[in-house]
This record gives sequence, C-alpha cells and structure tokens, in this order.
Amino acid sequence: MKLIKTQGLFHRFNKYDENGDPAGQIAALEGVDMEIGEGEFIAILGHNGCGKSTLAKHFNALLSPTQGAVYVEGKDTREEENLRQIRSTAGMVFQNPDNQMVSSVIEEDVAFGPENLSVPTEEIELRVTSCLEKLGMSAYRYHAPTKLSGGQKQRIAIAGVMAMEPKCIILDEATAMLDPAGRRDVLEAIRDLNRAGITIILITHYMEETVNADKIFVMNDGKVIMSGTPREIFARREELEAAGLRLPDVTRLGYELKEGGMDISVPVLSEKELIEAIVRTM
Amino acid sequence: MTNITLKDVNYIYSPDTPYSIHALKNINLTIESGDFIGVIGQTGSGKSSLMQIIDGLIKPTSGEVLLDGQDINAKDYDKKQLRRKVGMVFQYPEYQLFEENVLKDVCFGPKNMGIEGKGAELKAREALEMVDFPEEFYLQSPFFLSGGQKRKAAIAGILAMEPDVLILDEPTAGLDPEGREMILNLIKRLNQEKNMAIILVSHSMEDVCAYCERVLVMHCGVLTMDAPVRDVFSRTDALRGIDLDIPVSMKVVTELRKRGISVDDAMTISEASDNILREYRRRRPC
Repeated sequence: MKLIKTQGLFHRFNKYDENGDPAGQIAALEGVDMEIGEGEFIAILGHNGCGKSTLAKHFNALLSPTQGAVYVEGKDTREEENLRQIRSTAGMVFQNPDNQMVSSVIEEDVAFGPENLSVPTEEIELRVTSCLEKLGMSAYRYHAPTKLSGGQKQRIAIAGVMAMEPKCIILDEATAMLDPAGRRDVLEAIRDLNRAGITIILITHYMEETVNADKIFVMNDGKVIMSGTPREIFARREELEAAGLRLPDVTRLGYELKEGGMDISVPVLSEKELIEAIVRTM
Repeated sequence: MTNITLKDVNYIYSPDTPYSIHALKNINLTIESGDFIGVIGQTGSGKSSLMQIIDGLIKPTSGEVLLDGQDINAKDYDKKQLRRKVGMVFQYPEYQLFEENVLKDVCFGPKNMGIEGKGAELKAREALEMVDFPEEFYLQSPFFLSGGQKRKAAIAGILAMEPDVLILDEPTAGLDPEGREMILNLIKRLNQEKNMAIILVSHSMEDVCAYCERVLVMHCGVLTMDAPVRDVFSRTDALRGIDLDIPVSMKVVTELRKRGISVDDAMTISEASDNILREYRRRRPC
C-alpha cells in the first residue's frame, strides 16, 4: 500500500467579487494522479500559484477534494472519522513560521505536539532535546519565540513537527526564509529524518533543494507536467523554464560550457561533478 | 543628494538583563544617493538591527545616526523628514496590505505625509506605474493578487512617499524565480533612473553579486567588510570563515584555480562561463 495516493484529484476554490457574491471558480488542481511510497524523499516543484501548496493540504486532509480522491495509508481523506489518523501520519511545516508558534517559551513550543499526542513526559523531554539539537537551536531552549529571527522560528517549527515523529513530514517552502547555513542545516536534518525512514515531501521552487530527492514531481497550472529522478528532470531545461522554474547555477553553468564547445555531459547536478568535468576536458 | 552617516553606533537589546544581546558594535558607515549596497551576514548577525537603526525605528544605545548632517535621534529632530527620505520595505511587506483596494493602499503613505485627495492619488498612480503594476488591478482587493503582485503593490506603497533611500529586507524571500527577477530588476531601475540609494538585505549571494556595487558584511554585530562587491567576494576564505556562502560562480573558479586551471574571478554564471571558456580556448590554439 502506498503511503499517499491521489486519484484524479481536482480542487476548485470559489471566487467572490467585491460584494461577496460568487464570481466563478479558480481551478487549483486539475486531475492530479500521484503515488508516494513510504520512506521516499519526494520533491514537488513549481512556481508560485501552480497548485503545489493546495496539493500539500490534501495530503493531511486540510482540504477535501472537489472531485477525485486522496488516500493516506489507504484511508480516504473525505471521511470525517479518518482525519485524526491521517493528520498524525503526515505532519506539516508551513511557509510562515509566525503562524506556527503556539507558546511563549521555545521548549514548550516544541513539546506542544507530542504533549497533544499524550507522549510520556520523560520521552517529551528527550525528544525536545534531540530535535532542538538537530536544528542547532539548543541555545535558545529557554528563550521566547518573539526574540528569534524568521529563520530561527522556522527551525523551531520544524523541530515541533519532528517531535511528533510522524511517518511523513511535508515541508511547504519551509526553507524560503532561512539563511544559507540555516537552509543547509534544515536540508541536512530532513535527509537524516529520511534516512531514519520518515517520508519527506519537500515543496519548493528552488531546484537546488531537489537534487537529493528520490523523485521529483513538477507542477504547472494545477497539473503534474513531469515526474522522474533529478537527473531526468534537470535534463528537460526548456520545459522547466517554460514552467517558470530556473535551473540551479551549477547546472546552468554546465549547459553554458557545453554550448561554448566543452565536452561536458549534462545535466550537471553538483559542484563536484562540474569541477571534475571541467578538469577532465581542459 | 542625501547622506546617511553612522558614527560609532552600538545597540544592545534588553540591556542589564540576562538576555542582553550586543547586536551592533561600533558601526561606522556612510551611505549616499545612487549607492547600491548589499548587506549580507548570517541570521542574527545584526543586519536587521542595522536597518532599523538607519530607519530610526530603534535608537542606538550609543553613537549617532546623521541624515544630511542632522542627528535623527535628537529630541528636536522632526522625524517626518526621515520618514520621507528613507523608505523601508520590511520582510514579507504584503502582510501589511490592509485597504479595500490597491490604489487606496498605496495612497496611505502620501496621505500620512499630509498630501490631500487627488495629490495622494497622483503619487500612488506614479508609484504603481514605476513598479509596472497592471492598471486593471488598481481597484482590486490586494488580497486576491498573486504573491509577486502583492509584493509589488506593497513596494509601491513605499515608493509613493518618494524616498531618496530605499531599504529592502529580503525583498525576494518566498517568491518564485520569475517574481524574484521582476523585483530585482525593478530595484535596479529605481537605482539607475531615480538615483535612489538602495540597501538590499539578502541571503542570496547570487543576487547580491549580480546587482549590488558595494557590500556590507555583518558578523556577530560587527561590520567586518565594507567594500566593492568584487573585493568582498574575492575573499572567499574570509567569507567561509564566518559561515557565509559564496556564489556558485566564485566557488567554481576558486576550486578550478586550486586544481591548477587559471580562471578569473566571476560574479555571475555567465561571467564564469566566459572566463572558463576563454581559458579552454587559450589552451587550444588553432
């Protein structure tokens, strides 16, 4: 059984005019079929407004399909009685950390999730310690969230979800506000979690972040327009650009050098790969 | 010409408490019309505090901030002058949109400066034109716009006050690649056409490299570098030493040099590509 499966998923939002009267609909998802297996590291790529966040909200039943269906561990997200279990399967980290802080002390914020799941106190203590450490936030344990920067808050939000130990963590542009070091820490933490068997769904418009994914889905206008391994996806340069995405700098440099006459095999996925290729052809 | 000078500025959060943080340490700095400055540094290095000092939102614990020679924190200083001359676009400025339509929202600034009715609307329209905001959305609620459009509207709200200095804190955060280019090109245009001084706080070394002329590097509250962009980014080891990223183009050329291939510094990908290809061809005389 797949961890998450969508079947012909459509989602439409109602639009209203200035007087609050219905004014048609916006189609956010138009027939998405997707399967995500347990333990996979999935990336969903697309520009703003392509429907990727709407899709993510279906993965933990924050939205219900207009048409089609979503199954999380075989459970239909349209059924009220499944919601609790679906939501404990998939934890979400959103774009804006300010909307995710619930407590006035960092350690309590991280403990909020497991507390709600009735995890024993000593166990919560251990989880809080280890999650804060993984995200490099141990020094802020007794601080107030208001004193933190956006990036630091986001790391706390991720720690809070990690502390619930869900089977699957969905990150909806969760790295958008982090500095390079913070982003690396988070991506590293995500990879560690994935190695420990947790399914990761990383939603982003930064192609750089998807290089280590097992599989990438590219979305545009509410549809999945490509899926494959990073190497397969990065090879489709024109289609990606048409979908409003930009290749990572190393990949672009690889293409430009090849076009300039150097014998470099594209797509290039990492700096190391690019350096070796240049040294070889020089 | 506008000139902002910081003299020995220190700022301490929650002084005399266990949580006291010395956020800015002895900052000396001059900013002039036409400057295009990038501010980089890790989260918590003091970038945002520095911007708030420049914009007069927080008062230095010690030291002075001078705008055209006048101390902005002096008791008798008229802060309206500061507000008009220095505009600040906060992170995620679209969260501050509040009016029922875009035009009214952009009018808010000029109205607060005492410009009445039509005059304010005129300024708002000019600002919206400056950011290339489509006219058919002027009377739309700002909440139904796309992320990139919302941000444009929010930036227009600041531009309507016609600042001489524009501070932008991570103006491209959360935007997709197209939105990012749109905002950066807009900023560049404001700098070139209006001679506006731009202070761009960014975590994207690529953006700073490609757009800024001068770079300020903050580290643990200290202004550790203040130099032309090329000088800053050629010091790759120093940047790495304070945990800052260097742009891919510089990473590649420095690594190639270590491997015995002589390639010049490159601030952008196309420059890197040109420099590498030049070396490649030099090694193959026909």
